[in-house]
Amino acid sequence: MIEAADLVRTYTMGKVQVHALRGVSLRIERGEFVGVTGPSGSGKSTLLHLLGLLDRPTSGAIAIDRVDTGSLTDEQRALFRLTRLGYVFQEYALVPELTVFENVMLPFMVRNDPPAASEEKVHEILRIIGLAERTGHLQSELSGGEQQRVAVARAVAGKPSILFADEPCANLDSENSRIILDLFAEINREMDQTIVMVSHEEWHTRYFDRIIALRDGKLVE
Amino acid sequence: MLAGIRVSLFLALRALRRGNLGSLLLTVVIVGMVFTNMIFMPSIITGAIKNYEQQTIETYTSDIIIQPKEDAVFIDDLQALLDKVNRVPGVWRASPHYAAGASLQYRGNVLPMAVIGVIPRDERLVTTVHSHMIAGNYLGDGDTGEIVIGKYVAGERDVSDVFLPSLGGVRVGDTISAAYTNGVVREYRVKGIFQTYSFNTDAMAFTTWEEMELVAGESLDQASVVLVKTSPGYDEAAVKKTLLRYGVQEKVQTWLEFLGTAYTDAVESYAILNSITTVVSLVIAAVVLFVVIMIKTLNSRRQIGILLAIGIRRDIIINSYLFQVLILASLGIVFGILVVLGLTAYFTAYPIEFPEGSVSPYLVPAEIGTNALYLFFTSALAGFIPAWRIARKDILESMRA
Repeated sequence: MIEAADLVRTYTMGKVQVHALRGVSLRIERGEFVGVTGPSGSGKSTLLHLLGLLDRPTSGAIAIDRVDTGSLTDEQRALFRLTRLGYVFQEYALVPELTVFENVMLPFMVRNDPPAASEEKVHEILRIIGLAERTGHLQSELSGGEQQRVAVARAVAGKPSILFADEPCANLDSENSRIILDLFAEINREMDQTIVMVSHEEWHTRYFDRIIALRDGKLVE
Repeated sequence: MLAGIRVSLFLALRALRRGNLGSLLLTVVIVGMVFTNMIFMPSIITGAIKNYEQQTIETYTSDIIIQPKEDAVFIDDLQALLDKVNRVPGVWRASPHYAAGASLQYRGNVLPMAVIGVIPRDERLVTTVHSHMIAGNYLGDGDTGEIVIGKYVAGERDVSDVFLPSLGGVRVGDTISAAYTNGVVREYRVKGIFQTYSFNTDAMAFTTWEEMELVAGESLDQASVVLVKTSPGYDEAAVKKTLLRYGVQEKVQTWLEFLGTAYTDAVESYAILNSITTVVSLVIAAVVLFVVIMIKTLNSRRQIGILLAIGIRRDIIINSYLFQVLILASLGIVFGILVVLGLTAYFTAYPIEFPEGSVSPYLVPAEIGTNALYLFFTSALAGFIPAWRIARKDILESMRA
């Protein structure tokens, strides 16, 4: 569960102050598939970065699973992200020298989880996303859609509390976008996975349980 | 912590194994060549120094040199001294030298120098001049009217080859005259010409003790110096102390003390040259590895940002690059050692010819280890800095790169 209260994020670019978020409060329940929408510059990605602990708000508070994230140190935030949050970005950002299996296994290794159980989980998620036959392939041997599916697998394999997705279909054609969104929907339904996804595509909205719309850094009713 | 190091090592090994093979090989070769430069060039300089020392000890000073007491021209009561010295534990043999000033003449060429009287049977046990004859033979016991001369004394008949005063091309069997400072003039048949490659020795002339007694007109119980060869396994400094303990009153010096501070200063100057070579090599290695890791990290900025975003700790990312550079450095060092060993084997079989003689590389295992450590730690620093610079950046800044 996420609770955000009066989030403000202001950037200073040279002598100009950019108000990316101007007091956003929201609550996302466990198991929800929430879409964050709005025009370019509305603050969608900024909101996602704040909720995903990739950035700190200028003011306001964020609690995830009742943990006040504002009091966490950088190291604690990194550990929090590793153990409780999952991310999918526009860029697939797989490690090019690792195979599909190794890329998905990486967070387990960093967490020092038991290898045998971790490997089982990785095989399971790769089977669910339809890449069970490609575990030994490198990034360069995969299509864009396949790479993004591996990124999704990496994000959800550790069963995170919340999955954040920042325009995950931006670099994909509509066919692959549909595959990714169907995958999200399935993960949300089957694994009761909370998902917060930024999108500016109108047709994506039908996948969401709820939409958080932003304009000029504020929530739109 | 341990899990983090394991992941860093895992990422580093995968990056090297599945990364650009050409780049990896090129880096290893560069580091290897740098290491070769760090070891091989100094080993040649050290080899030349050792060669000079060996030539000096074997043909000029021996291990210990006994000189007259202060203010004395000769060592007196020579026979008693020789009896004493030859009884000292650790002394292989003592060989007296009697130097007499003379002007050697050959076909109008006059060369003022000292002619040294030696006892050939003792001299053969103390120096190796007898084994460096390039023409004719060494002196025999009791020879009179004969002389052996160094290559620089003999000289060349072709004046274009002459760079030192000489007798202008004396050959074995030729007769030269020696006008001694006491007025005695002797005719000598040149019995042999030697070339030791020691500059000092090759500018000397030797005759027998009996011949020197003829010049002096009396039995000689004096010497200019006494060269002392130590027995195998004995340290010259320890034997020197024993000689003094046995009551030798003359000035006793080891070969190193005899050569003096000018020589040790020269050796230190060479050590400075070696150090400069090492530092320059380390800088080259550091720059190469810095550039390699800088390019790798710059190309991976976005990937590093996303790895940070998904919770991979900064130290894991930095250490993965650190391990890469340490593995590259280790491979380079191993390659460099193999090259150095190969070059050393080759130049030991086929030494490099210098005017001072044949020089082979002189490897000191401890120096190989020390230089390997220097290179290893320099590489670590060169790899750490660019990785740290990129990984310390803000996550979003890296992701937007």
